[in-house]
Parts: sequence; C-alpha cells; structure tokens
Amino acid sequence: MATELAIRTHGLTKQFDRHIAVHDLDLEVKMGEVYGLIGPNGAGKTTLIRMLATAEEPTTGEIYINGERITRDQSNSTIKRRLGYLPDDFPLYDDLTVWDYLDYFARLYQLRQPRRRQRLHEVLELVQLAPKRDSLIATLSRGMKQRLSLARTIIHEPVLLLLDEPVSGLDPIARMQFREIVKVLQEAGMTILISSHVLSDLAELCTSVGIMELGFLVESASLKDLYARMSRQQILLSTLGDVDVLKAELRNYPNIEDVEVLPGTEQVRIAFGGNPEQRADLLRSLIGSGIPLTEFHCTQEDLETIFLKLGHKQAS
Amino acid sequence: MIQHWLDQLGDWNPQLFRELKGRLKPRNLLLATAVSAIGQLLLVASFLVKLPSVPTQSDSRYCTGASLYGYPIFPCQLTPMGDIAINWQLWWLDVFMSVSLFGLMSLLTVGTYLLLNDLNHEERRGTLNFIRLAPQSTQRLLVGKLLGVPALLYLVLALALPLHLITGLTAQISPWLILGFDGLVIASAVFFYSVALLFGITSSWVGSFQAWFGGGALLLSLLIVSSAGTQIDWLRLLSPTTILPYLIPSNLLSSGQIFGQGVPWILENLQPLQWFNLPIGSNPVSLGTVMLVNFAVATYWVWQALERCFRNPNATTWSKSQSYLLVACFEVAIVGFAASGVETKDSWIGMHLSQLLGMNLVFFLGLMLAMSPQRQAVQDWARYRREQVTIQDGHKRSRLLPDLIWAEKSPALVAMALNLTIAAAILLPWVALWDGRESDVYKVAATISVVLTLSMLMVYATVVQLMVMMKNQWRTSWAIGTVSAIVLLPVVALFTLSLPEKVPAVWLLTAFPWMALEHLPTLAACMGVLAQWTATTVLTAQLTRQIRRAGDSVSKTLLQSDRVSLPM
Repeated sequence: MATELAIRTHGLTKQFDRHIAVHDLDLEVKMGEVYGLIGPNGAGKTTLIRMLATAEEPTTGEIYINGERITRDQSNSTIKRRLGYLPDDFPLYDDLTVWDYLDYFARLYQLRQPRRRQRLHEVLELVQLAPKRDSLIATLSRGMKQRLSLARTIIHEPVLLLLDEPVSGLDPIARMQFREIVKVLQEAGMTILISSHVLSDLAELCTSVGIMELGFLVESASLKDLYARMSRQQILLSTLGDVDVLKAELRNYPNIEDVEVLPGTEQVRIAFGGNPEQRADLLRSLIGSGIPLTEFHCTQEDLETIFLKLGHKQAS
Repeated sequence: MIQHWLDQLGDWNPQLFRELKGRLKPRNLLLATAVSAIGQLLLVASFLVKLPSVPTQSDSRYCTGASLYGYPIFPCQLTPMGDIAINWQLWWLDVFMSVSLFGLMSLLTVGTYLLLNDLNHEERRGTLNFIRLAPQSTQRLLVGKLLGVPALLYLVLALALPLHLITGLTAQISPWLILGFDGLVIASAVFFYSVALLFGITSSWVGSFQAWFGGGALLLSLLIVSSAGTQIDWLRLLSPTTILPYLIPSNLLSSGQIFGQGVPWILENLQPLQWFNLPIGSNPVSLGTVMLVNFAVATYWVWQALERCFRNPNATTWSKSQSYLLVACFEVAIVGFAASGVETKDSWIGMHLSQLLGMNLVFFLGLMLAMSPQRQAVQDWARYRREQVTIQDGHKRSRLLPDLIWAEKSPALVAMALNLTIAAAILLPWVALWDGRESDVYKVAATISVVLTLSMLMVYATVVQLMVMMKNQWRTSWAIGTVSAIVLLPVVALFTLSLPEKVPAVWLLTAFPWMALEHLPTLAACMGVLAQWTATTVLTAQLTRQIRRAGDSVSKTLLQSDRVSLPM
C-alpha cells in the first residue's frame, strides 16, 4: 500500500526546546494529488515541509517518499532526486545569469547533455522566462525570481514538489501565472504539496487539503469530501421590490436554514438545505407569489468559510 | 575545445563549475594578473636595492669576502673590472625564500579568509541549504568549494611559480627539493582549507567576523611557529616552513636566513628531531614524508567531521566512536615526539611532560566543545530515548550506558571520561617506561601530574556540557568564555597575588597542577584529585537534574504546574 502513496509519515514529531512544532503527525498523500496545507502561522506547516524535504531532521517518527524511508544517517540521494523543494524565502545567486543558475542546478541533479539543454529550454518556456535567459538574476522582479525558483525546483523533473507559501508577496497577475504553472505540473503527473494562506488559490488548485493547528493535522480529506461534508448550499437572490417583503416570504419555505440581507445592497443570501428539485420549487413559488426577482444564483460556501467554520482562525 | 573541457568539468563537479563561472570573469582575471605581476616586481625590486652598488661600500650581505664576526655580513671585494663582486647565489636564494614564504602565507591565510567569507555569505543568504539538498556527495561539493572559491588566488600564485622555480634553480637548490616543498605546501593548503570549511560550517554563531577571525588566527599561528619557532615538535610538522632550511645548498648554510634566524641554529634544533626514536629530522626526505603523513592523517580526521557537519551543522563534530580513535591517534602522535631524550632534562618534571599535558589541555578543551551535544539534541535524547528500549527475554532493557558511550545525541560526559582514560592509557605507560637517572622520583610525580591534569579536564568537560545546555542563544560563546575564564583566571590571580610559592596547593585546582608538585607532598596531590572528583560529582548531579527536567514531556510539565496552582 505504501508504494501507492507519494508521502506517508508515521508519528512524525519535531520539537524545538519545549515547543512541539509538529506533533505525532500521520499524513498520507496519494501520487498525482495536489495537496494543500492550511493553517495559521506557527501551526507547523513549514517545519513539516522542511522535514519532508530532508532539510530538517525529525525528532522522532518516520517519513516515506514513494514508499522509500528517509534515513537520518544516509545521504538519501535517490529520494533527493525525486524531490523538489521551494522554500518561502527562495534565495538565489545574484551574480549568475538565469541560464547559468539553472544550468548549475541541472548539473547538481546530474542531468547530462543533450537532455540538460532541452530541459532548460522547457522550464524556461514553462515559467515564461525564456526572454530573460541571459539576464543577471539581480535584475529580475520578485515575481520573476519566484518563477525562476520554481524552475530550479522542477529542473530535474521531481515526482514530488514541496512548495512552501509560493505566492506570498506576489501581485495578482504573478499569482495567476504561478497557478497556471502549477496546473501544468499537475497535468504532467507530479504530486504537489503546497502550503498557502491564499485559500482561494488552494481551492482552485488542490485535490485534497490538510488543516494544521498547533502542530497537529486536525483535518485531512479530499476537497470533494470536505465540500460534501462541510459546505452548505447558498442561494443569492435580488429583487426589484422591497427586500423585507422577500425576506418575509422566504420564512414560509422549508429547507431554508438562514436568511441574510447583504449590507448596502438589495440582495439576500440564504443557506439552503434542500435538493435541486426543492430548489426549483422554491424559485417557482417565489415567482408565483409575485416577487419581482432579478437574480437567483446558487453557490457553495468557499474553503475559507469552511476553514473558519471548523473553528480555525486564518492569520495571514 | 575550452567549452568542451569546461562542460566536462561541470559534469564532474558542478560546484567547482559554479564557483569558476562566478569568478573567472575578464575583469577579475586581469586584476589577478596585475596583482601577481606587480607583487613579483616589488619583491624583486626590494632585493635589487639591497645589492651593493657603490664601489666604496665596505660590506654587504651579498659581498664575497670572508665572514666578519660570524655574522652573515661580508666585506666587499672588487672584480678585475673594478665592480663589486656579488654572491649572486645567495641573492637568488634570498629571493627564493621570500617568494616561497610570501606565497605560502598568502595561499594559506588569504585562501582561508576567502573560503570562510564565501561560506558565511552562502549561510546568511540561505543558499547553502540548496546545495545540501542536492544528490551529490559531501566530498564532491566541498572539493568544488575548495578548488573554486580561491580560484583567483591560485591564478595569482600560479603566475608567480616561474619566479619561484627560476630563483630556486639559480640558487642551485635541487629541483626535487623544490618540488617536494611545493608538494608539502599543497598538502598544508588542503589541510588548512579543510579546517576552514569545518570552522565555517560549525561556527556560524561567530557571524560575519568569522572570516577575519579564521584568516587572522592562522596567519598569527604561522608567523609564531615560523619566526619564533616552537618547542612543540608536532606543531612544527604543521608548518611547511619547517622544511625550508633543508633546501639551502650546503655552501650557503652559514649565510642562510629564514625569518631573520640563522639556518645553522634552526638546523641544530631540527636535526635531532625523533619520533619513537626514529631520526625523522636527520634529512629532508624523512622529515618531508612524516610531515606529509601527518597532514594526511589530520586531513582525514577533518574530513570525517566535514562529512557529518555539512549535512547536519547541529551534529557534534565527531561521533563518540570516532572520538575514541581520534584521541588515540593524537596521543600516539605527540607521545612519539616525547618518547626520546627524557633523561636529558634539567627540570625534575621535565619539559616534555609539561608540553604533553599542555597540548592535552588545549586538545581536550577543543574536543569538549566539539563533542558536547547542544541543548536541543540532549533534550530530544532525554525525551525520546525511553521509546528506544530493546526487549530481550520479554523484559524491557534500558540502553542508558551504551547510549552514553555510543549514541549520537546523548551527553558527552561518559564519552569524555573514556577519552581521558584512553589518553591516560597511552601517557602512563610512557611514564612507566622512563629510564633515566633518578627516574623513579620522576615517575611518581609524572603519574600524579597526568592523573591530576586529566581529572581536572573532566571537571571542565562537565562545565562545558552544562554551559551548552543553557537556554541562551549564545551558549557556545558562553561555554568558551567560561572555560577560558576558569582555565586562565586562577593562574593570573595566583601570579598577581604572588601566591605560587606561598600556597602551592591552589595550583592543584587549576589547569596546570604539575606546576605545584615540586612543593607538595604526594598526600596533598591525592587530596587534590579527591577535590576534583568531588567537583565533577556535584556538577554531574546538577547536569543530570537538568537533563531529567529537559526530558520531561510537555504534558507532565503542564500537569505539574496545574497541580501547583490548584487550591488545596
């Protein structure tokens, strides 16, 4: 069973002095998944990722990458070839050009010619830095540096990518570019573990999420499961008439759990517990009762709401 | 062609490739060439002005008359053409010596500085972690650093190589001896650079001062060993300048000078050098071979440490099992030099013994710092070792003693005690085998000195382990400061108060107990040992308490604090 998992940890613990950063953590990530790690600052996400990347030694516990155990007293060179790790501060060598930097890491990861040259072109195209290949790293913008770091992380075609807060400090366009790249990598079959405070990004990218708090993994499930279990259906309604009339009318219907008038608008948001047929009935009845509806729009609670509903406070 | 060669080099060692790419830029190459050329010109010019130029000059170092008053200053004589006759061989020899010494010092100190500075930069920038995570062996990565970071320095010195060879050959020095000396210089560079890498990796707490500190300390040590000389034979083997007097042609022996010292005097001290009665100082081949072997063994131990610390800078420098072998190696090396000539001493304790114990003091103080695991490691060991018990015959068996002797993160006290026992097991038979006049008197005093010193070192080891268990972020600096204070302050206080002769017993509680044995009965020395053991016991009890507390689980601490706060 272990070989089907890209990551498996058992009893993983990391203690810094009296503070337990990661506490007896059992994590399983299937191959090909994009696994999002959520949690407030200090929850232990970075420590967990650093341990998975072999950058930090666990105090106790076991880590298996693709079924192979990370051992403390060995260089783990086979595992290292399979891993790509992007830390949140992505340090770079300012004295090298983009091409020389990637060429150096390609050599460190034992890529030989002509594959090396071909791979360098591929990743430069992917991260949209091909026109900058001869530029000094010092001259790049923050977004470009971030993309170059991602290129460095994937230059050796790792099977597991560990991305720690990869979009922090990026502008919306750079974030969008980054999301697109991660999608391409997922399509290429890489397993990706990504920690982020931007939950909308994770909701768009991830197949599963794990929630960490005080060093514990308090939730780990596929996004589909999580939405099915935790996310309520919401309907957004707008009327040309009096919003209080609409609100009063809504009280007559079953399956409506909550009615909220959105401040400053003529819109009402309701939490709806019924199935699609009952939803159609509701629309029919509202029109039948003469409410001048201009909008009847179904949504689901987003990841951030679910996260907050679980009792966690997202500090970003 | 060059591109293909570079490409292959990059495949063999990507780290070296990266370092060369970052450094070998046209501007830097031009600058290095200029520095080398100007340096060589200035050096040769400084010797040209020393030549006697005025026909009326009466004497000079480079004149050809008979030596005056035994000094290497010679009366000037005129040639049939009316010019001053010049001893060109001696002039070339002096230029060769200066080029060699200057090159050697630059290679070692500037290279050490560059390596430390580079490591410090990488560590601060956070890029060293990426290199650590690459699937390359530690040796390959660090060899890349070692060859690549001082690349421009190598170029400067390589450009000075023709001058070095031409001056040497013109001074009629055997080419084999020149090449042998160069080989030793390379071996010493490998050793000192490896030490620099180790220092750089393990002492990031020193901060940006690291490079200046490392380079400066090495320069100072080399200057002291080379110019002032040292009575500690093992240290002489670590300076390639030691072999230089043997390079001087026999006809110039009386006039040769190194760092202002006459070569005959240097050779007088060097030629009787023996190691376990082997006459290693008798000729350049034996001395050079022993120096090479010494560098090889020392470099081996440094690389053992680099293998451990590069991947995990928080690990102790050597493992406990490695430390036992290292101590045995060190003791055999230094006892070998002391093994001969005991009967020629004028002092009753003997210079060799004081030197041996002094070197042991320095070596063990360093070893304590290198071997004592930091607070976090001891805490992890204390907290989680209970989970690592072996079950034999259905019974859980504690692994405490094997852990203390071998385990990676356990406190180093038992290991230090074993290391000191190993030192005693080599030093005491050496004392027992003395056979000189009145050797029995010496033997008792020497045995007590060894026991007192080693047992005092045990006290220091406990203090070091206690200090590195501190919560303070600067615990390593505190440990160094505290141990330096307890080693040096009592001695300074004793001398300041002029107490050494008045209260000799106080010496027994310092790092130099052998200083007082002359004035004390054996019983007092035994009481001294007892006092040291009591101190060790008290400190160990305190350490055990701290380790127990550190090993308590967080829940236990929480429950205990709850119990305290509950109203009764």
